[in-house]
Amino acid sequence: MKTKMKRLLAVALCAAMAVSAGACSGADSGSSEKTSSAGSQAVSAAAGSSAPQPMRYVAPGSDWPMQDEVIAKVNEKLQADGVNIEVKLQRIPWDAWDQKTQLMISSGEEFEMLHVMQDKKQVGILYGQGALAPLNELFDSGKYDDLKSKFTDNVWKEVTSQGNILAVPAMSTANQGKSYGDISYRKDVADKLGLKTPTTVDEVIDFAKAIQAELEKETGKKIYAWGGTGRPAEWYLRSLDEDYFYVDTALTLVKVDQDGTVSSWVESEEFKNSCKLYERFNKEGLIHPDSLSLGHEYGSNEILYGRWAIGFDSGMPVENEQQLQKNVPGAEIGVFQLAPEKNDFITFYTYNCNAVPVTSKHPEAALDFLQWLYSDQENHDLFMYGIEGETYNAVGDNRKEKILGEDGKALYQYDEWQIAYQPLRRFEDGMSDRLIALDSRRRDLDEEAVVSVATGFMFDSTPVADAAANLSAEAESLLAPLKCGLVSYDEGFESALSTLKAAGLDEYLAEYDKQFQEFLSGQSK
Amino acid sequence: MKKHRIRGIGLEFKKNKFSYLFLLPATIYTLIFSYFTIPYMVIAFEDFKYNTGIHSQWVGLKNFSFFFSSTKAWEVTRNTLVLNISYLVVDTVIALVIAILVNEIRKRKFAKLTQSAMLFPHFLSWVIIAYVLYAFLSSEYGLLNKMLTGVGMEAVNWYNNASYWPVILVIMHALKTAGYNSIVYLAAITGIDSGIYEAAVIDGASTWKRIWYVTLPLLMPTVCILTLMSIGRIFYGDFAMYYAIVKDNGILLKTTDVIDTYVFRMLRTTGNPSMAMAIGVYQSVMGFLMVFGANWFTKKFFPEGALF
Repeated sequence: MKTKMKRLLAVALCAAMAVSAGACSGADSGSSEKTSSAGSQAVSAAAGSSAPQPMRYVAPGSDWPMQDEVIAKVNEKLQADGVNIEVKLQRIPWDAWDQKTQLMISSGEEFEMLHVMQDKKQVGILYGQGALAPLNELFDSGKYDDLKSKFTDNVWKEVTSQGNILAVPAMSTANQGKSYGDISYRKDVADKLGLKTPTTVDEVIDFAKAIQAELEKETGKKIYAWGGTGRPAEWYLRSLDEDYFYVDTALTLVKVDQDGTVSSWVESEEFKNSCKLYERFNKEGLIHPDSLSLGHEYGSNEILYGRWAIGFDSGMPVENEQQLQKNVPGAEIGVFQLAPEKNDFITFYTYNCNAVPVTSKHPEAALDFLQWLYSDQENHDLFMYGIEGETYNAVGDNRKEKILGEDGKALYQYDEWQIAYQPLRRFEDGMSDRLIALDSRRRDLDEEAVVSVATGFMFDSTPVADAAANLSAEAESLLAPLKCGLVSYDEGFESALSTLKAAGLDEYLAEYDKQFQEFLSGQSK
Repeated sequence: MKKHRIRGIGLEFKKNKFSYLFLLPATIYTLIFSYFTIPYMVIAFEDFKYNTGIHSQWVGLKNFSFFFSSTKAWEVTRNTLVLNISYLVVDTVIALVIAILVNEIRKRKFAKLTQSAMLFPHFLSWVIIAYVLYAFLSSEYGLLNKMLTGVGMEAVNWYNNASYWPVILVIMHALKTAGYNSIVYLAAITGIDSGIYEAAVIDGASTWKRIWYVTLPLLMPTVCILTLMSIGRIFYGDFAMYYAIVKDNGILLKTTDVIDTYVFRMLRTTGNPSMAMAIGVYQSVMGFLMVFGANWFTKKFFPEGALF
């Protein structure tokens, strides 16, 4: 009896191990199945004679506690509105995103919509690798004119390669891509010290040092300047007399002037002066000595706790003020620019977009859904924020209050950056009128801003794949110490440049120039 | 003859069916994730397209050229080998020392406490260890710099000087893995026939001599087998370790950039699956050759320690 019991236990244990191994590999699909079944039930009650076409949306991230209930309501509303599709979400954890989506497409798995982050991989490259279906025919049919009209021609260029429309832009904010050269600071501290808004680079340094000294006195901790080194120091470039220019976002190696001239950014005077400026910041004790190893997150966290002397460019998104005030009651964010009289400069509109994979047999399902989503505030609220009274409460016309679960996390709140439509977005309740006014100001910038000639250009690195791979490995690691002033330009530049040249910088620039001139001549036709 | 062998295998399964049942989940896992994925390696020789998958156009060795034509191929290969060999040697020596010392402790409760304390770092993620290390080495508030300045020395900017890092990484690796590895050696020590020790004591051998002449020689086959298995992954870097501790710090990469981190940076903008696979194939083939070479060497000079 005892032996029999042991055997039974052993079998049960083995079965449990085998099941858990299986569950590990299939955890995501399990959750999406759950979602779909909830969705199916809701739809079957409301659907007409034909079964709704699944609209499987594959995007990075994790599920929310009330996702099933919300998606069931979305599907009910779609049916009630006569859109015969059934939304199913398949959220893929970030660490598995690349491998899993690659495997899904290459193994022919059918789904209708894929989220694309163009700062990681552009739609043009994905199209070249046979991953995406062009959408021209669907747009030419006229059925999606309403969806097409939601974005300007310039925005559509961001998702178009060689005449092929490859995705629908996700314009959750108008802030992206505009080179404001914003400089952020602790307004409450500056007001307390009676500091004047700086108008020159020298004044910026003095201003930062004064805030640094005051905060060090208050917190007992040394604080620093954050941001502005990942990309060219636009806050500084804005103050120069030179004409606007674009620096490529992929490797930050190519400079494109407004007259179409392509040259090497790292060999430019502007790059040299930026590095020397940050050297000055470093000598003044405004750069964290370990900043290269601390990463972006550390700086963001310091900012959320009010510990920053000055923040450059994306160093302090104003939307974070609420979080900051929770951590530091009374803290306020101030924003200014050098040369405020100059126009802003648009180098791109959005990195995020939603595309149709080649494995989809019904590409129209994705466009049906997006057209429905962007057509109406009610639809947008339902998909983005969930069920009113259960997952959020609407506050006025353009604000909302998230309802949190016991763990303090939102019960449902779709990631706005992946799919939200900016004019229909709701701001978090509690965001100050000052910040909303600032955001609204940005919405109208399109007409005033200067648009880069490189907007909409997609560089295909395939012809120089070896050089692109080598430069990708070298550029950031070689240039970051120079850009943040931890290594002196005079001491470090020559060896960095010779390494970049050996890695294929000239070959890369020549190919970039060739493709860019072709792009420009295509534009003028 | 063949029939007998098949019957023998059948009898073996029948006799130890529960043991094999326990082995089943691991076997399924290995089959799915290690063997069924082997055909996918063909994309290293193809111009991979998502819509054609493993049937993409054959391009031969073109995908390997980006790495071997790079200016850093030699440097990162050297870093990978130097660091991995250092880990292997230091981890093994420390694990052996821990196992022998723990075995010599007569107070069992203290022995168990010591063993648990040594084992604990293995269960910490590299991210946590990176934070602990930063608390120790931070330029401003780091414990080490506080100690240095406390005795009148100058603080060191550890994160801005590449020459310190091979040593720091080897110490951190040993801290995390040596305690765990020592368990295997401890198990091997407990398996040594106690009669041999008794004979040594009767012959007047001191504790040190018992360790030197009994424990260490009898542990050598285990040391050889574990070392040979580690050599198979000598061309791979512990990516999680490097990205948690070193991150993209360009100043430190001169001594800490290994094949995995270099290739990750190479491909993060283009994300070409064929190129990534090509490097995977290169690392696997080199690891395979290294295991064969090391096994041949072991077989020649220390046959008991050979794997096959």
